[in-house]
Amino acid sequence: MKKRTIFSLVTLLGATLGMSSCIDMMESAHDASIVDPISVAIKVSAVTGFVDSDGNGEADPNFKPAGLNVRFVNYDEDAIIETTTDENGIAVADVTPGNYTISVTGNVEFEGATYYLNGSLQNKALMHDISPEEAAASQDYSMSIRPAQVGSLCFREIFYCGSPGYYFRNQFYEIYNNGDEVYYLDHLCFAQLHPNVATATLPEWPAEDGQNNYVYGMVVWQFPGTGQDYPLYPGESVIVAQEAADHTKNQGGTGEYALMDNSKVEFEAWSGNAQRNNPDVPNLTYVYWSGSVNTLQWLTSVFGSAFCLYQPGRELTYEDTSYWKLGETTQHPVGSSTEYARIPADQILDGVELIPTSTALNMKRIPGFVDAGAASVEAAYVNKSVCRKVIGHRADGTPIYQDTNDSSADFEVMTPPMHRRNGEKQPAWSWSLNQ
Amino acid sequence: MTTYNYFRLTGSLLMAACVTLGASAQQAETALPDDTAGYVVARANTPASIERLKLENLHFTHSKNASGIQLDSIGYYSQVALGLDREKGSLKRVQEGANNTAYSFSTDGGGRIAGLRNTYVWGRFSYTRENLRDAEYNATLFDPLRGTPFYLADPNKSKWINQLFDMEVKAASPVLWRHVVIGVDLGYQNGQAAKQLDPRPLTSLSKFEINPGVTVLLGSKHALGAHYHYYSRREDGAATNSVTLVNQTAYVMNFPGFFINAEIGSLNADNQRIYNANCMGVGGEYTFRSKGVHLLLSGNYSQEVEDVTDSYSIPKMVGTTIDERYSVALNARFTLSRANALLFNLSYDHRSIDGIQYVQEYDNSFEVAKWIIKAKNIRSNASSAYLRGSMQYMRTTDDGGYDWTIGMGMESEQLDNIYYFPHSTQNIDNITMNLFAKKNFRIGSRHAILAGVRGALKTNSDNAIDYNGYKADTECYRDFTLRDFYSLGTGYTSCGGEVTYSLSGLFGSRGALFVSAAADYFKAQDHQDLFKDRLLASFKVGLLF
Repeated sequence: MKKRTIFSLVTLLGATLGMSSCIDMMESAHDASIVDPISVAIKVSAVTGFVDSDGNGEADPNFKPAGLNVRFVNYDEDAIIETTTDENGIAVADVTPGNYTISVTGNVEFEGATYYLNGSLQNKALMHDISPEEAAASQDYSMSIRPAQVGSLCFREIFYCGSPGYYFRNQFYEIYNNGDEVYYLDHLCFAQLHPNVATATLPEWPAEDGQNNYVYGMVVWQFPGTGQDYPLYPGESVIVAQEAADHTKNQGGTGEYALMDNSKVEFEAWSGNAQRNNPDVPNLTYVYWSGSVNTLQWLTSVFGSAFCLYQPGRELTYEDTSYWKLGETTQHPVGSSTEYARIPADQILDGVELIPTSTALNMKRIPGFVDAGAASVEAAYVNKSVCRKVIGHRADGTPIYQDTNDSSADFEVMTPPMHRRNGEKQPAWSWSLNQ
Repeated sequence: MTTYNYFRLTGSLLMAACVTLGASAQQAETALPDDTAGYVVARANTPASIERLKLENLHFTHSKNASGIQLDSIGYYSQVALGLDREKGSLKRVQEGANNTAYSFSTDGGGRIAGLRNTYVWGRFSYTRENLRDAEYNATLFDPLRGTPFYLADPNKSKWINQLFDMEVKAASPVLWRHVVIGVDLGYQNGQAAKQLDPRPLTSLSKFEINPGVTVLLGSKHALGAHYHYYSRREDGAATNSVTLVNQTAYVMNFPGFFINAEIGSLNADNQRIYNANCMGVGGEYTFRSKGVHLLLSGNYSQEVEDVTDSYSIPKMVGTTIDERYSVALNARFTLSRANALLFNLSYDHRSIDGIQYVQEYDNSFEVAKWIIKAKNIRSNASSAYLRGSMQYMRTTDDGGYDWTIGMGMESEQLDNIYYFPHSTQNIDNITMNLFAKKNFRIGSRHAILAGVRGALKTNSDNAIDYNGYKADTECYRDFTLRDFYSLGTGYTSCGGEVTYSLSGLFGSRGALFVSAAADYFKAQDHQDLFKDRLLASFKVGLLF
C-alpha cells in the first residue's frame, strides 16, 4: 500500500511537472507579437588615416561616399535589402528585426585612379528604428571604410579543398598580373590570415590596433629577389604549391577527381619536411609562422582559409627578432598570448576570403576593404577550385579577370582545378622554362 | 530507456485493443432510451451493418468524449483487415508522392463487457507501410502537409518509405450514480519515415493523446458532456548524404515562398529538425435523444504549441507554431420508421497557425555556450476554414444493415496565408459537392455484394497570390510555392465506385468474410498544364466478428 501511495504521488508529481512545462511552453509562445518592420539608417564614411577601436576615424573629403551600394543581408532569412548612400553617406532601409551583415560596395575616382570603397559590418543586431541623425551620431551604426586602390596583382585560382581520399597535398595558389604594368614580385609576401577556419566568433584585438587598420597573418611566405629580379608582366602568373610534386603518381581518382601535377610550378611552400621537398622547384621562404613551425607541411584549411598579398618593401626573415616585435609587426588577440603578423592595411595588394559554404557568409573573418565577400567550393575533398571570372582578353589573348574586391562576385567554382586554365603565360624566369 | 517506454506503452495499448476482440457479445443497452426504437432485432456483423453502426452512433463517430458512447446504441463488433492502396497521377499537392503504394493491417472493435457492469471498451490498431514515389520538397517530415512551416526541403524527386503504428482505445464507464458517465479516449502513434535519395533523413514520430471526458444525464432525453484534450507529439529527423562527395541543395523553409538557400553536406551542420508539440483543448457536447431522434451538438477548442529546434546538443530555435483550432458541429440521426433513417451533419472547422521566428545570438562564453533569444515575432499565419454539410438517406434492414442508401454533401474551403513582412498573401476559396449511392445486393442467405457509385465536383471560386518576398526568381518558389498554390485551387471532377463481397454466417453466425475493391478517378479542370488526373484504388480483405 505504501509503495502504491509513493507511486501515485510520483505519477501525480510527474504529471504536474509535465503539465507545468507544457504551460510554460505555451505561455512563452504567446509572448510573441506580430512583426513590425523597422527603418534603419547606416552612415558610411571613407577614412585614410587611423581608425580607432570604436570606429572613429577622420573622414577623408577626397573620397565622397555617395551612390555606394549598401546591402542589408539577413542570413537567418536569406533576406537581401539593397539601397544606396545619399550625398552624406547615409543609407536607409526598411527591414525586419534581426541580425544583419551590412556590406558596402562601390568605387570612387581620385587623382585619376579608381579606389574601391568596400566594407562590411558582420552580425549587426538591428532591433529598433534608427534615424539618419542617430546613425550619424553613433559609431554603432557607422562604417569607416578604407579606400583600396585597384591593384594589378591578384589571386587567380586557389585549390584548397583537397581531393577524394582526404588528399590535401596538392593544394596550389596561382597569382596573376591582371593589370597593364609589370609588377616585380621581389619581397612580395603571401600570408595565410588568422583565424584559419571561418568563424562567426572573431578574435578581439587590442584597442590600440583600432578597426580595419591591420589584418593578422598566421603564416607569411616571401618571394625571393632584391628588387627587380622577378618581374611579372601583364598576363603572366606564378603558381605556389604546398608540395611541388606530381601527385598524379599517387593513387587517386580519375577524370574530374584526378590529382594535380604540381611538379612544374614556380615555387614550393616548403616548411622543412626533407621527404617532401622537390629540389628542382625553388622554395618560398617562410618569414613568419605563428606558434611553432609545422615542418611536416604547410596545410591550409580544406574548409577555406583567408589569404592576402602584401608588399612590405624589404626582405624579411623568420629569425629577425629585431623586426618581429609585439605591438609593431606582431600582435596577439585579447586573452591570448599567441602572436600573429600584424599586416598594415596600406601594404595589402589583394585578399581572398574562403568559407566552408557560400551560405556561411556570416562567418566572414577579414575586413571588407580586403574582401567584401567570400568564395567557396562548398565542400571538402571534392577536387574543386575557385577561379576568378574572365571578363575580357588582352590583344595577346591573355585573360582579364574580374577583381572588384568582392570574392562572392569575382570567383566561380571550377572542376577540376587547373594551372593557367585560360592561357595565362609563364614568366620567362620560371625554372621549368629554363631547365 | 525512451525506446523501452515506447514499447511498453505500445504493448499496453495493443493489449487493451485486443481485449475488445475477446469481449462477449452484449445486447445494446444504452443510458438513454433506444432511439432506434428496437428496430434492430439481431444485428449480424456484415460490411453494411458495421458501416451503418458507425454512421448512426453519433458520439462514437463524431466526438472525442468517449463517455458519450454510452448514449449510443452501439453493439459489439470486431473486424480485422489487410489492405492495399494505390494512388497515382499528377493532380496532387507538390509534396505528396506521385505514385504511391500502401499496405496496411488494421483491426478495430469493441462492445460492452458484461463482467464490468456494461463498461464500454473499444480499441483500434493499424499498421501502415507506405511507399511514396516522386515526392518533392521534403527532407524532414513524416507528413509535410500537417501544418508546420518550418522544415528542410530539397528539390529531388524522392521515394519515401513510411510506416506508422496507430492505436486508440476508448472506454466508457457504466452510468454512475444514475446520472454520470466517465470515459477516456487514449491514442498512441509511432512512426518512421525514411527518404531513399540524398539528402535522406530517417524521421521518427511519436504521439500520445488522452481525452478524458464526462457526460451528465439530465433526465431521459438530454445530456451534457465535456472533455479535456491533450496530446504530446515528438518528431525528429536528420538529413544526411550517402554520397558524401556531392552536396545536396536544400531549402530551410520558414513559410511558402520564404526560405533560406542551403546545402546539406559534409560542411553544413544544419540538417536536423526536432519538433516538440503540446496541445491542450476542451470540448463540450449537448445530446438530445427521443424516440426516433438523436441530436449531437458539439464544440471543440484546442491550441497546439510546437517548438522546432535544430540540435539536441546546442539547440537553436528554428521556429514555433501556435496552432489554434475550433469547431462546432451538429450531427443528427432521424429514425423515421422501421426501414427509413436519415442522417444529417453540419460542421464548421477553423484552424489558424501562427509562425514565430526568432532573432538569436550565440553566446560562446564558457559559462553560457548556447543560443540566446534576443527577440521573437509572429512572422506568418496560415488559416483554413471549412463549412461542411451532408445528408444521407438509408433504407435500413432489421439485421442492422441496410438495403440501399443515397446521400450528398457540400464543403466550402477557405485558405488564407499571410507573411507579414515583406507583406505577402495567398487566398483560395473552393467549393466541393458530392453525391453517392450504394446498394446491398443479397444473394441467398449468406452472400451479399455491396456496390456503390459516387461522384464529386470541386470548383475554385476565388484565388489570389501577392508575393513580395526575395525569391520570386528561384526554382523553389516557382516549382514548389507557386505549383502548390495552383494545386490547392485546382478544380476537378471525380467519379468512383466500390464493390464489397461478403460471406456471412461465420463464427457462430455473427461473423463474415469480406473482400472489397474501390476506385476513384479525379480529372483536373484547371491548370491542366500542371495537373492532369489522379487515380485512387484500394483493395481490402478481412473478417468481421
